[in-house]
Amino acid sequence: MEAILKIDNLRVEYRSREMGQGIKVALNGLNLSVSQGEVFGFLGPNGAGKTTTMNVLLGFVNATRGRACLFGTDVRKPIARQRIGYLPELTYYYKFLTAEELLRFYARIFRIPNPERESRIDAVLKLVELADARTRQIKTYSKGMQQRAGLAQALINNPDLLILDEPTSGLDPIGRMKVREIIQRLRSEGKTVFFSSHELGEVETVCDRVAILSQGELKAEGRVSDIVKQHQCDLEQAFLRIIGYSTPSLQ
Amino acid sequence: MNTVWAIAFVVILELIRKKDFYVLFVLTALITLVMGTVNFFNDDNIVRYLKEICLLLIWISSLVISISTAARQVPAEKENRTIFPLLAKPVTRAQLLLGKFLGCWLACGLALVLFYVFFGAVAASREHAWPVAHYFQALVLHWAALAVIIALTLAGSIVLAAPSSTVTITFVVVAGILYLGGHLDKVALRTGGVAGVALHVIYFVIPHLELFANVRDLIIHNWPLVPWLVWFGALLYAAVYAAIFLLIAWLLFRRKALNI
Amino acid sequence: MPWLRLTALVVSAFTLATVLEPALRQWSRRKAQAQGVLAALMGDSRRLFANHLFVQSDVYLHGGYYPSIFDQSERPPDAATKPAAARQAAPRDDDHKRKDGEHDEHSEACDHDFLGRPRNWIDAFGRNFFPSQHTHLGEGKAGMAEAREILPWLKLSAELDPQRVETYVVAAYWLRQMNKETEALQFLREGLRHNPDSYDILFELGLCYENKNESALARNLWEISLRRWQEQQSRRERPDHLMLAQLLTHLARLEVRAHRPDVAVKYLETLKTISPHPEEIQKRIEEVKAGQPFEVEKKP
Repeated sequence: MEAILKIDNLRVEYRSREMGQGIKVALNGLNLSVSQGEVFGFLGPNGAGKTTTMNVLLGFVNATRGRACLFGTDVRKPIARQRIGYLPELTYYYKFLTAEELLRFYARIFRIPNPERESRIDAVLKLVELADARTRQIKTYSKGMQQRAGLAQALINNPDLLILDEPTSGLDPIGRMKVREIIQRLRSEGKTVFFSSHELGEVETVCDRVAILSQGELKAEGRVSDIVKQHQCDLEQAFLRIIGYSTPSLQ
Repeated sequence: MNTVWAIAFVVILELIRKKDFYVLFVLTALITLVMGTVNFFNDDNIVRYLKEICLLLIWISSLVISISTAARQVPAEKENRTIFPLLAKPVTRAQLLLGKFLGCWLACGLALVLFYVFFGAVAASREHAWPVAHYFQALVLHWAALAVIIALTLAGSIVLAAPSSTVTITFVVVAGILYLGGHLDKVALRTGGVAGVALHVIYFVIPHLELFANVRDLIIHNWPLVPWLVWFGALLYAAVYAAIFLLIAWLLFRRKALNI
Repeated sequence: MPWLRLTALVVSAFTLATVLEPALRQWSRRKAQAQGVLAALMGDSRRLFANHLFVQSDVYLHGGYYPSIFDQSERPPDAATKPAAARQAAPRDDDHKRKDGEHDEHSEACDHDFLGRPRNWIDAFGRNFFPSQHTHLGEGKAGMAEAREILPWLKLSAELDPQRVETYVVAAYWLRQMNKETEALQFLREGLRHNPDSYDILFELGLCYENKNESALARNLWEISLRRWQEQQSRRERPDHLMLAQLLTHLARLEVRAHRPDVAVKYLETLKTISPHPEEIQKRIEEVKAGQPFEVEKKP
């Protein structure tokens, strides 16, 4: 299968602002490959390097060494982001815009022609169930609605790859269920989804494959069922073992 | 360019939906109208003081609008983290800066048109004349000066983290240029020595915004038009400085960490 | 017990009020008399603003062509400090004035040349964007009516600093030029209320009445002005002889018109003692004695 997302020997270093702290290695020798149509879960404890990896993929951070490509194009080129959709962990949008205006803005950035633009806006707003609130400013939305507006903007260009940073964080159970439904619908449409999450149950439900990251290094990668089988426990316990967290109950 | 226009359009919408502009316009109109009602020796035809006050308020308002709008663009994108979904799209940092600049500049242009129409109406109510060419020259020169100021503010906002610092420093710099810029060479000649040389260098390096602001006097005292070729030269002069400041802003911004 | 406390509180409040009230009234009355709202708000800084507005009137007289403080520092001290509007409004009709007039021409020449040759390309280019030709209001097609544009600044200057006598005198001069004697009188009276001992204002008031052919009133005002001058200036080391010359000349002329040459000669004799050209005044005295008409505008 064609690799849509490919990371080769990626290393990211940060120069610490504190005196005497030197250089901090956020990612070290990461290799990863995600194929078309996969739902890929990116797991790891806080500070493991998940967000750094996403930031490299989105062009926010430059790699110290190694290479990351989307659709075979180096992520440092803006065109690499033409076919992706990104949903940040928290909703960060222009609150003085309505959902409709926000989507029109992003659609113009993707150079979606005018007639298609409007039909696309209608479709995604319907998909995320915001059609009734489309003319209201985003600042009047509830948190769940804002997250759905975020999902709508991530889908406006009909992306082939979706990068979701903890898409269900802070949502109520209904909100989570809706996001899960949308991910599954996208999978059924043949889209590739790359998402990070702390909700291991959710990952188990929707992901084809997962990668577990700890201290900037890839600790495990494979199908959820294989990892569970290998460790002979559920995903949560397997995760804790892989990252090296040990409790008396695990021992 | 489509991306730049899209970003610019959002900036314009922001300005339209925020209250800053309306408050300043109402304040300008109110002060001008109140001053217009004052009786000076039973003479209803006195107009130049009114033109002076109105144009001064328009300049102050335009500086407040342009500097405060431009100063918060990039820091607000970072602070509200709206920059991340935006840069996750096929948008370069240069396009982002250019879009922000264009948005601020166009928004200020729209505001200026409204201000100058009001000014024209006030002047016409007493002078019974519409020197449209004069107003056009003054408006476009004013707008050109704002291009330099906005580009300067954007560059400042990349260096300084807090918009309030950018606003304050840019105001001081712009006010300094407007008030002292044209006289620095005289001071340099009188000062002499190293300080004199430094002042001379500053004189030739800074954008002489006072050229654009001085046009007010031509309008107030009904002087003839600025020769069109000279006028066009001034626009080019402003364009060069705006481009220089935008280039500096881009050089500072292109590798700058986004504080993730 | 609470009622007792409440009663005590009310009684002490009333007692305090009766003690403080007269003192407060007296203080506020004194305050209101001494200072207007602007004075209370701005303090002495209003004088700075008033001066700025006074200079602004001069900027307007020149249609915006005016030296900045940087240009002024390179000019002669008097030319730099005394606006042309005031110089123009100052009296012009005697020997002293003629001298002053000569100085005026020098100052005007300084005003005219303050730009000099372009210092560099920015300076040369910049001159297209501000008034860079010497002009005066009233020289255009609109005539003296155009000079009205300087009046708001004088009025505002007087509002800020009512003790500045020059503002009233200059405004009255320009109002008279525009045939607005009534407004000039009104403004001068306002000035006189704030400066009851000002011989300048009294003199200017006299000029207004003279313009209205009310010679008796004019004479009366000039006589008072002369007394005020003597009270205030005669003992000074460097008295304001220019003003005294003005007063004496105008009074002498009035007396000649009223066919009282003896009184006129008396004024001219005094004038001779302070004039730098006593021989010219002597010639004038002889003319008056010979019964020739006396006009201030006539150059000796």
